[in-house]
Amino acid sequence: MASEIKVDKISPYSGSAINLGASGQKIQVPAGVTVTNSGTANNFSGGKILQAKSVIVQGRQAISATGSSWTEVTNSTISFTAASTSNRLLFITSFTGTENGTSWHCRYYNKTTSAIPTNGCHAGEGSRVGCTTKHNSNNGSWASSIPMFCFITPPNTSANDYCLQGASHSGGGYTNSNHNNTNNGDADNARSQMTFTIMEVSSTIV
Amino acid sequence: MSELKINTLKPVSNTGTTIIGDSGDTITIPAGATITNSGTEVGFGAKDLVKVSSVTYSSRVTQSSAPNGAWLALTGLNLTHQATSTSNRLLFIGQICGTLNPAGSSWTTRFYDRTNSSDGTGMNANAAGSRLRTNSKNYIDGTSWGASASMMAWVTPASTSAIEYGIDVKHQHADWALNGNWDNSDSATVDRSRSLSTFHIIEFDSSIIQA
Repeated sequence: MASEIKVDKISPYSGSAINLGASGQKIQVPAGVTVTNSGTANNFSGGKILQAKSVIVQGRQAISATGSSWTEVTNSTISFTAASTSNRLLFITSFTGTENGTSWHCRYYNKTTSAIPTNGCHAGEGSRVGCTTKHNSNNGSWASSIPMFCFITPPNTSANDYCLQGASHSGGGYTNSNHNNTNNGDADNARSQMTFTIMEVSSTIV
Repeated sequence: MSELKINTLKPVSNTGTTIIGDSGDTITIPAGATITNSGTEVGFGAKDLVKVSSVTYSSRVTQSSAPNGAWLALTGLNLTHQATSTSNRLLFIGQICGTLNPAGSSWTTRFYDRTNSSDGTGMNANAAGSRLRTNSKNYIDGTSWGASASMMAWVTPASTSAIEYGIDVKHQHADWALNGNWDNSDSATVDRSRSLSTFHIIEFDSSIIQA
């Protein structure tokens, strides 16, 4: 016959430790019971994605900067405070851009540290400019949506303002549309949106 | 050290609370012991990802003689997702490979809520004059070529009922195809490779979504 004890509180007889069960034994929390942890729980299978923030970037914007000069994409900033520098930040973006017959590129940027995030952008080679991803638009009627996927090492556990930046080869670039921008319902002139998301992934699984 | 051997631990009253320890105490589940939770846990860590729905589509789909016609529903990429809570958020991620004939023009894609016949908040671009509200754009400059584009959106579920979502395409020139080039010759060249188009929905628990 199972034994049962009814008590409102269990405390250590001495010291500050309570052991529940022993190796090979089972402790069950029946359905309908709530277990509340207001202290510290170790080794429970909580989530491994600790926080997520995102921004949806609407509207057409010129990315007219050229060469090594960049244009910040308006309303693309995410202020993100990492819980630990051992964790990693998964940056994912779908970036839509265009040019008027040549190349454009984009990158992540940390406005707080005035630096490209670690692993978030090519550092450049020689005089070549580094970017995160790049594409081209061989005609002003066209545009492309491209991925930007990076695992970033947070520089600290303070708030950092990360943003999207773009630049175009000849200064004719835009976001979220084609270059021509005719106001009609054609596929060429459709508007798109960009999504920038940061997820903090626990170091325990990285 | 004292030891109490019991099988069941209950509060004194039927719906009461049993408190284990005081602040500063440590409660240990020894190695080799198993704690099984069939009830509700609170405070044991965020749930982060609640549910994932995913579809991969590899077939070639074509539409002919429909320049700027009605949206073409890519039904092979339809995906039904039943959100656990409307407070949660759904991350939509897609990749679409397309091609055009004649070449030298654009296509554009959107997410669509087929259950509610809605292009829903957050799925696609805001209105801008008469321009189409879409999620993603792409183009091709030769019928031997194909190109893949990314799609992404954060969506608030309309309800906790099962909702069928999908991806639609509209193209500027007459003919469009999914997952290959337009020529479609049966050879092993890179031009004629086949690709995948995918659509994933990842439901995030509201507790980790930061404003």
